[in-house]
Order: sequence, then C-alpha cells, then structure tokens
Amino acid sequence: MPIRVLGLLLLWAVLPPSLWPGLIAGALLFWGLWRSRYANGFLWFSVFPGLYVFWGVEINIESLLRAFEQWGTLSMALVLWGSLASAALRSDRWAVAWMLPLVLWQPTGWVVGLLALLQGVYSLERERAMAQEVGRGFDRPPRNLIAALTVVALVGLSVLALPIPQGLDLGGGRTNPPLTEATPTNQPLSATANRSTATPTPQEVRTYRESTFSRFAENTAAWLQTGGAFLVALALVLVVAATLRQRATKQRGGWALMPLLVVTLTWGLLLAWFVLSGSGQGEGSGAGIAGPSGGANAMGQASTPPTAIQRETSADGAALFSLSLAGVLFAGTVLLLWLAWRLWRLPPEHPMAIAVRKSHIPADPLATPPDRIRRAYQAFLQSMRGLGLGRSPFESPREYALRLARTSPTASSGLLELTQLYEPVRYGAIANPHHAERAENLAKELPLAFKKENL
Amino acid sequence: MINLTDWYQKIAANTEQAVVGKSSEIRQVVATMLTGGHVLLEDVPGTGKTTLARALAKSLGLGFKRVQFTPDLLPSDLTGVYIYLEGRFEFRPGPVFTGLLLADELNRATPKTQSALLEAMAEGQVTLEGQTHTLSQPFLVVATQNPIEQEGTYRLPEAQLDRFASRIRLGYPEGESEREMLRRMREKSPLESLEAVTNPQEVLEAQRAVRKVRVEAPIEDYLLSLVQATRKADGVVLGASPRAALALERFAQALAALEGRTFVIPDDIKQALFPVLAHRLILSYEARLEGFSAETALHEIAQRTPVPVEASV
Repeated sequence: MPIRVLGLLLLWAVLPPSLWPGLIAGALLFWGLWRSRYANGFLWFSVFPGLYVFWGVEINIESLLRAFEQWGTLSMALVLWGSLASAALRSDRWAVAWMLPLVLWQPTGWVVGLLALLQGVYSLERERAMAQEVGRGFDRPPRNLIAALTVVALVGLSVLALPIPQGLDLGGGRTNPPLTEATPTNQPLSATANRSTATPTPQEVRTYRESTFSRFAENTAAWLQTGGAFLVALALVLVVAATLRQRATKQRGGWALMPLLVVTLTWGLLLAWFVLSGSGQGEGSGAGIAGPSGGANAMGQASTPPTAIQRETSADGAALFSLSLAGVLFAGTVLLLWLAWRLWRLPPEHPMAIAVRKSHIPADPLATPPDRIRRAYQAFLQSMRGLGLGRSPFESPREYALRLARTSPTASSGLLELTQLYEPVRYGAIANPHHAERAENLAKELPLAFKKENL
Repeated sequence: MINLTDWYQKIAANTEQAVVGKSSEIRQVVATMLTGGHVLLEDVPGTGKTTLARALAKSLGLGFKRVQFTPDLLPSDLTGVYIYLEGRFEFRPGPVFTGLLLADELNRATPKTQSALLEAMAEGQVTLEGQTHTLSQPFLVVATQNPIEQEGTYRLPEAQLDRFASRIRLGYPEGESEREMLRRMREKSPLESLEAVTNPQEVLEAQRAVRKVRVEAPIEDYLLSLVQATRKADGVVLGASPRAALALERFAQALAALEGRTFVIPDDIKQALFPVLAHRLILSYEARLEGFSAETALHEIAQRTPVPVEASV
C-alpha cells in the first residue's frame, strides 16, 4: 500500500497540473476499487484513465468533454475487468460473465466472440488449476471441460456471425465485395476496387495506396488470422489427444466422449469455415476482420459520400481496429494452445497421493462419509470450494481454518469450532452425535458469511 | 491418570524462568523426553543450550550430569570403570548414570567415545567387562553441537544421529526476549532458585500416557507417505529410516498429548517433521552446493503430500 501511495504521489509531483484532475478521478476510482475488495492486480490501471483524459489532448472544453467520454468508457471497462479479475481469483465458474455489459455497449459479434474466447481460455485454465490442485491429472468429471468447450463452440459460432469487412484487402489479392452497393461507406478501403460500383477518382486511389499503415495493418491482421487458424487446428489436435489420453489412463468412462464430440464438432465447423474462406468462395472469405467503421457501414448510417481524407482516416481506423482485434484473437488462440499443451503435460498423479487417496479417501470423491459431522465438514469444504476458497489437498483442517480466518477474521471462531468438532471424529474416531447439528449449522452458515463478505 | 496439559504447563512455566522466549523449543524437548528419545541441541555458542538442559533437569526433578566432550575424553570417562578395591573389582559408575546427561559439544570427542553413548542411548544400559548395568529411568541425553566451528571436531556418524529422536535449534532470542533475559539475570541466575515441579515417576507415567495416544490409519498413512517421500526426494541421498518413522510417530503422539488430545492430527505430524527428520536426511553434494537444506526438502515434501481430509471435489 505505501508503495502505491508513493507511486501516486510521485506521479502527482512529476506530471503537469493539467493532468491533476484526471489523476484525482483516477485516484478516487483507485480508492473505491481498493475499498471494494477488488484489490488485486488491476488497481494500478484505474489510475491510468486519469492520465488518459489529458494525455496529449489540448485543454479546451470540447477536448475535455470528448476525453471524459472516453474516460467514462474506459473506466467502465476497467470496473468490469476488475470484477472479472476478482471473480477469477475466487475461481468462479462464470467469471467472464462480469464482462457481459460490454455487449450492451457494443452489441457486435466481435464482443460476443471475444468474451466467449476469454471464457473458454479461463475455463480451461480453471480446470487445469483445479486438476493440479488436487494433485492429479486431467481426470475431473468433465462438466468443466464441457462448459469450456461449449464456450469455445460459442467462439466459433460468434466468429461465423461476425460482420465480414467489405472491400478490405487481406493480402494475397483477396478482396471482399461490398455488402450493399447502395451504401457509399461500403466502398473498398484498398486499391483493389474493381468490384466497387462507386469508382474512386485516381486521387482517392492514390491516397489509399499511400496509406501504408493501412496496408501494413491489413497484411499483419491477415497473417495473424492465418496463423491463428493453424494454431486453432493444432489446439484442436492437442485437446482431442489430451482428452483421449486422459480417458485412456484414468478410465473415467463414457463421459470423456462428450467433450470429444463437442470439440470435434465445433472445431470441425470452424476449420471448414477457414478452408472455405481460404479458397476464395465469395462471402465466406475475409477471415473475419471487422472494425467499428465496418459495423457502422453495415448499418448504413452514413448518408453522404466521404471525402478522400475522411476515407483515409476511416481506412486507418478500420485497419487499426482490425489489427487490434486480430491480435487479441491471435493471442487468445496462442493462449488456448498453450493451455491445451499444459493439459497434455499435466504431471501424473504423485505416487503418494495415489496411495493416500486409494487407501483412505473414498474411490468416489463425492462418496458420503459415514458420520454427520464429517458429512457436514465435507459439505462445508464443497461450499467453500464453490466460493473459490477451496482447501488445498496439502492443507490440514487447522491450516485451512487459519487461512480462512485471515481472510475473514469475523468467521474465525466459527471456523475453529467446526474444525474442533471435525478433528476428533476424523482423526480420533470419536463420535460426537450431540454436536452434529451444530456442525451442520456451521457448515451452512460459514460459507454464507464468506459469500456475503465477498459480494 | 495424569493430566498432561497441566503437567506440561507447570514444567514449561518453571523452565521459562531461566530460559526466556523459547517456549516452542522447550515444548519440543519435553516432547522428545516423553517419547523416551534423546535430544541434539544444535546452535552457536551462547544461545542457552546448557541453561535449557539444566533448567529442564531441575524442573523434572531428574539427576543432572554434564560432560564436556573433548578429543581426549575416553569411553570409560563416560560409562564408568572397574577399580580394584579391597581384593575385588568394584564398579564406579560414570556420569552416564543419571537422569539427564548433558553431553556438551558431543562432536569434539572421538568416534570411539561418541559410540560409547550409543548403547546407553538406545538400550538404556551400559555393558562393561561383560557386565550389563541398567541406567536409571527416565534417562535423557541432551547433546549439544556447534554447527559453525568445525575444526577439531568429529562429525557424528549417521548411526548416532539417527539415535537422537530430535534435533532442535534454539536460535537467538527474539524481540523483547533478550531484554527480558538481561533483566532476569541481572542479580542472580534464576537457574539457582529453580525447584522441581514434578518427579521421575510422573515423567514415566507421562511417557506411558503418550504411548496410548491414538494414531488412526489415515494418519499412519500420512506419516508413512512423508517418511517414504524422504527416500525418493530430489537431492536427498539418504532418507529417513524406519527408526525415524517410529520417532516421528512418537513425537507426534507426545505433541498431541501435551495439547490434551488423545489422538494425533496431521498438524502434529507436520510439527514433528523438522525436529525429528531434518538431521536424519543426508543431502547430495550438488544439492548442498546449491544451498538446498534438509528443511527445504522436508518443506517441499509436506507441500506435496495430501493430508487425509474429506474429499471436497
């Protein structure tokens, strides 16, 4: 905390007074987020909107208004991201759902696709972490995997539903035709405009050709998309192989077939789409690059033909947006690939863990213990795990209670009581039926208290 | 039936008059004594090793003898001798015949003298000239060694190290403890005025009570997993012996008993891990060069050995 405060003070001292209001706003947001328990990781970013407000912007009312508009948007994104980060830290299954309001803000296939991709990556990572936490391979009941793969399927579907950019040269001479010829803003953004009905003047063509940034961005985006397609294929192979491997080694039964089917179907569809788009079959091509201007074009909001300068600006903006999105998608795909690789490389269960599990932990991890207090404690563990505060398999009940008590000091007495009720039953074979009800109550109340505190 | 928690509280309170801020170490030494084992105190000079041994001997009402181990110390200086007196050989018992023997700087004596202690420590008896002499019970050896000064010392052989149930490091006093120590020692040593708060019979009774502390099968498995892991751990050449497993179990039983429990919990095993196993592990040369210690190895083992608790997933 002192380091953060010091950093803030240094920023305050170094930056010119024009940036101070932004810093104040950022600091307030920072403080608010700090107090709201979302204090992990992203907090420093909340100061940045303050800088962003005035960074390089001429100080006048118009620019201020414009900047504050952007600041508001960015702040909202940060708050959403913070909520997501916090939920992810708690290992909530649907942590990415916190970002759903973005769909209201930008109701496009891209946003849905990105969110779905994010959820897919997160689900896989969560599953991997959970599998590793219990010291075994990727042999958990496949509900998480199915959830993850369903989400990945969503990615595929949403990518299919993305607005295809019109007239955008993706390199290799492939160019998409415009969706509607009547819409002036759907005119080609590159020089390969032979299919466009609104023929640009030579001056305009030259202007576009000279827009080297657009060309670079478009080519890079196309490269990223192509690379992404290959990586997706590789990820598919890895995920399928990992699933098969786990099925072969862990004998989890027919359930393993389900994710296999889902992943095969999803990625099969996606690959087919890539193949079709690569063969230049018209509407399917384009590898799904779109931008805000493209979205606006599709809606046909522009009513007057743009000037050459406007088109150049529009082309730059679209290309930049496309490049960013393609980069994000590419990075997401690489991450997916990495996660699939990690799944494949999960170490085998430790021999000692196997021995202990086989001898004294029931073969079915959800098997019901014979004693009421033990059942209550098990229920408590499951509830806490659902809250992202699960017990590590290497933690004793006391260590676990102490860790939880540090998280919520108000619950410490209850935690201690439940642990003290559990220990004699579990380790001393001392039945204590008179306190079973108390243990059951504690097992219900404690997770609720934690849940309330986390919200 | 002796109430071990109260009994221990009396001993701890009494001993802490002379040894300030070392309640955890006192507890470990008492736990070792309750297992019937022996303690190796390892630390730099002046950290209170001798004071602790003497204070404990006084508190427990045990006889106390101190032997300063030197290279010229002979086994007979320790165990005793037969002398010819009035036409017959008479046994003159050595300092080992006591309740608590402080073997100061054990590693300064020759291996021959060191091994003279082996039988006494392991069997509770001494054999001389074909005659076996039983030591009084309880019998506790508190040996000390200085880990820094190695010149002119004879490293304790593994066999002997294994006979020490625990190795405890006292360390420097923390925080205000050192100031408190100065104040207490200003006029006279509190050691002089210490009185026994228990007697050897109660100690024996406590030792018997510790043996009755339950170790359920899941805890046994957990303990064995830890011990077996030391034999496979990276950088460890020699892991814990079966004797070490036994010592670990007894130490955990003692810790449970001192807390007033009649059963061992995983935390007892974890707490016993360092004092009971650390001195028994032999690390590879490469591991030692890399700064890897037995404590690190044990910590890693504990971090990857599942504790038997209800499955939650």
